[in-house]
Amino acid sequence: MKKLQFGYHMKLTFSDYVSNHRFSLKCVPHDTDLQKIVNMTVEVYPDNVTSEDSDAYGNITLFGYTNELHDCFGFDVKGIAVTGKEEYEKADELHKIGIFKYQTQKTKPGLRILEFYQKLDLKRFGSATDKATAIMDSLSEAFQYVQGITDMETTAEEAFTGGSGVCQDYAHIMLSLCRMERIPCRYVAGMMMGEGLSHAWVEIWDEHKWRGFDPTNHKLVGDEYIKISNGRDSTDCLVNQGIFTGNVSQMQEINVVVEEVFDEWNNRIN
Amino acid sequence: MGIISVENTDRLYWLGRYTERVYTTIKVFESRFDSMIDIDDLEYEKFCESQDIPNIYKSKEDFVARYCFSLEDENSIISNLMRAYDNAIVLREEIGSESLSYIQLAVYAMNQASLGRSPLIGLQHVTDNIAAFWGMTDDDIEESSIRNMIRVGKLVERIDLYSRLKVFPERIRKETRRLTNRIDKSTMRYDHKRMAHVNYLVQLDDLPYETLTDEIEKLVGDEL
Amino acid sequence: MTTYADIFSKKERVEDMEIYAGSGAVNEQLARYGVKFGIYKNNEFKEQLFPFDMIPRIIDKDEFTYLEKGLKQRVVALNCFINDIYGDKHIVRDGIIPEEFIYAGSGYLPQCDGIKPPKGIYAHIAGIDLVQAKDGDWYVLEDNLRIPSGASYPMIARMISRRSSPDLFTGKHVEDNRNYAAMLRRTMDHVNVGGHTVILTPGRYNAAYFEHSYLAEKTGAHLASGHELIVENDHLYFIDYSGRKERVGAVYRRISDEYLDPMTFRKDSVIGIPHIFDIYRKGNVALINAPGNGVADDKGIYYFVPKMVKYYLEEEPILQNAPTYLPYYKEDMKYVLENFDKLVLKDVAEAGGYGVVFGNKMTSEEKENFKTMLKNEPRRFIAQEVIDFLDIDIMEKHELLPRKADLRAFVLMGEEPMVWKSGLTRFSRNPDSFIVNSSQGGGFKDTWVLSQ
Repeated sequence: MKKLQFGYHMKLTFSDYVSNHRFSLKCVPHDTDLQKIVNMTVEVYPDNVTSEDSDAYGNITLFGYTNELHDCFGFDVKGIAVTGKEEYEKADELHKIGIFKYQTQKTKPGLRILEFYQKLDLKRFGSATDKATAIMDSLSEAFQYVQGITDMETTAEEAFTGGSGVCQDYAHIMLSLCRMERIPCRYVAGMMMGEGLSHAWVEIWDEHKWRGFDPTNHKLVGDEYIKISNGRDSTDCLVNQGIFTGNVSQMQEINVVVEEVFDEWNNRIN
Repeated sequence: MGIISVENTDRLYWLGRYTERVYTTIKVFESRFDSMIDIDDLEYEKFCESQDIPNIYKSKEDFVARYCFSLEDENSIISNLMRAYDNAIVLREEIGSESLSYIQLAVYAMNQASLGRSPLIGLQHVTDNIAAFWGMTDDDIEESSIRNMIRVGKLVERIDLYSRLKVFPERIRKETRRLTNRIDKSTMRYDHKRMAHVNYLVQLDDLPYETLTDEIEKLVGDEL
Repeated sequence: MTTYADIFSKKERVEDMEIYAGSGAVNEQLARYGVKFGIYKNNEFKEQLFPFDMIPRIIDKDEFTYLEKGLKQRVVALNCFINDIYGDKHIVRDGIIPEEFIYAGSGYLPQCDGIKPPKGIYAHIAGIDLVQAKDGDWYVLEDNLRIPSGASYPMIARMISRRSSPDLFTGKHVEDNRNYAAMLRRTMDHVNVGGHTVILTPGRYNAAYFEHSYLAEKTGAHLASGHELIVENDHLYFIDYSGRKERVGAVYRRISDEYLDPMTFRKDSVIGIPHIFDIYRKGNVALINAPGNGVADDKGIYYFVPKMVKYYLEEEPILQNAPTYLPYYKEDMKYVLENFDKLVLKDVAEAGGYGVVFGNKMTSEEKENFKTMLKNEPRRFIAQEVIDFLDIDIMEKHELLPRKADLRAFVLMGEEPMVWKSGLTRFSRNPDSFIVNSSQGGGFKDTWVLSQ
């Protein structure tokens, strides 16, 4: 169990003023079996009307609008997460989470992933956890972490064909492979200790448990991770979605800080 | 009842304007057509000038065919009628199917008129239907602001056209008085200063037609 | 079974109708009221009159009582199903429907999971397409639970034909169908969570714009486009021209799920309302019909509807499906391959009469290609026995001609399920065609339900 202090800062800068801006944000971590969020503050700027809701996957969604002209938009989320409360999240029965067995536009395999999948020869393994471990092991060898090659829109097959990408791509490829094996699995967006950016990983369903795998770092998800949202793929977990009036280019800055804190509060929070 | 969007108030106003434009231009066309029959073949040139529209016509036959019935001529009567129709078709709920049907009938009458050899007879069915439409809107629409928005559009257009045609000041004064009585009842936003200015202009002995045209066109609209 | 021949005298059939049809009165009236639908031809928008044939379809009182019971049962079961699918999913757990028919199709919207719409109603307005076979039996061909259209046409046709040929109605005991607007209003009011009721239209260039505006006028609801409505502080408002914000409690939306809210569905939608889905989730506005209904009117799911009736209501289904095979099941695949020539095959993803092919109309090469496709994607198709339709006469150039026709019955879920005592009868103008959709050049008839 850890106590992690986190700060998630996002800023969009527009090349010119925009107005009638409507946004939906999934940037706030929610309580799960693994983590409990306390002392959280959320600031969205410029000043605007914001509502809160929880989506079909249980993710917290902040939504609202700013009508006035503005040339930047952003949020600051700060708080403390007590993590590692359990080893895994309890999962619904299989028939309820069936949707996570099926490929999406982002994870649909093409020839390259298919070929890779066949070489994996997963029949050797029994449990979903063993299969997922084998997938993660081979994937971290076959794929390289390089920034700037792929983008938000890149699919699993495109990323895999290119041979390198970021955490989102690792996650999509792993989802694609697990789903070919009929393992229910979901995309997770979150934060990790020591990272400067947001992070993404995968959870697979194994006998009523969601187990976290981080193929980017080739390790199991433990108490150094804070989950923000989960869904079928990255499109269900978009941190920021918006529409506005204005023909502009935009630049996004993200700054995530997660550090462990040790103080006398420890006992009180539990 | 009683909720109307900005867009639909705008459409009601333009529905009034375009129906009036069709109605009055047909009336004017009728009088010019008469002298084109056997007096002055080129009467249409003067007509174009008075309407401030480009004379793109090659002959009196061409003028009749295109100015009345060509959708490609953006100044034609049929083009204006279609603009009225485009506004009306999205106002069914505000004006009612019964009123709307007369615009629909005017469009059919227009298409019929284009097939015949005597345009005046055909065009008369168009003006009959427009007159019936106005009658229906007055009779059938419960919401007085809706009736008055159409009325305001109609009167603004009439003053605009009369001023371009330089008709006798007394007729313009009469229409301006009617507009002054209506405009507040429509609950539309308009430029109060301009309304006062229009009232002042029409009282002048030597009516400044061009200034009046400019002013009346800006009375209601986006620039507010 | 009553046909028009039983209730009209020969004189009425031939002379009166001919006079009536020949006089052009009907078409003139339809044109007058702008009874049209829009189509795109060569990328250009055109409005077309929907050809009306004045010989009505006639349904006996007893026959309609049977249909009414069956239709209510079916739509109640479909609503149970949609609630279950976006809730506990018992029907999947209990193996009644294989999970891939839910999750691998495009009809299931994961965004709707866990939503309980106002009063628990998902399908408020259902259009159930039926056909009658030569032996008099009725079969359901399709359930339309998204935005079924067409009720306005018989509504206005009735008004017009009563006006232009009153004698035809005298002494015939026909149920009045001009109450559709009132039924629709009750249905909308039943789920309204407080505020105005609006009909949301994609605009005048939509094929069914006439219907949107006509229903708005007749129900007294406000016709609105997406940009006239705005979400603020968890509620939906209509912005009046004076700047006043009027709360909206129910939206009868005539735009499809994917365009409804660019923040949840298609991001490029310019006809939707941003964040309407979020406040709908919170129960602050009723959407009619609810998003996500596509999961229940998919051609693949159709096969399972009689099973739903048994599963949820523990009743025997009153209405039957056309005999349908799912190549997904091995024994059905075998049957389909062996009896290919007598079957009609339908692509489950297509609608509006598209993606429908008849086994016996293919060349042998086409057949082989199709069979290969079928084996590769067994879930994509359903196969049905070709029903021997009972033809209905239409009047064309002073002649009575038999044509294929279907019936779209409208079931409305208000406080109680209600079946409209009429319906849209669509016919194919081409004598060889079984496809009656208006988008493919068909016409329509009024549907008379007899009251005694």
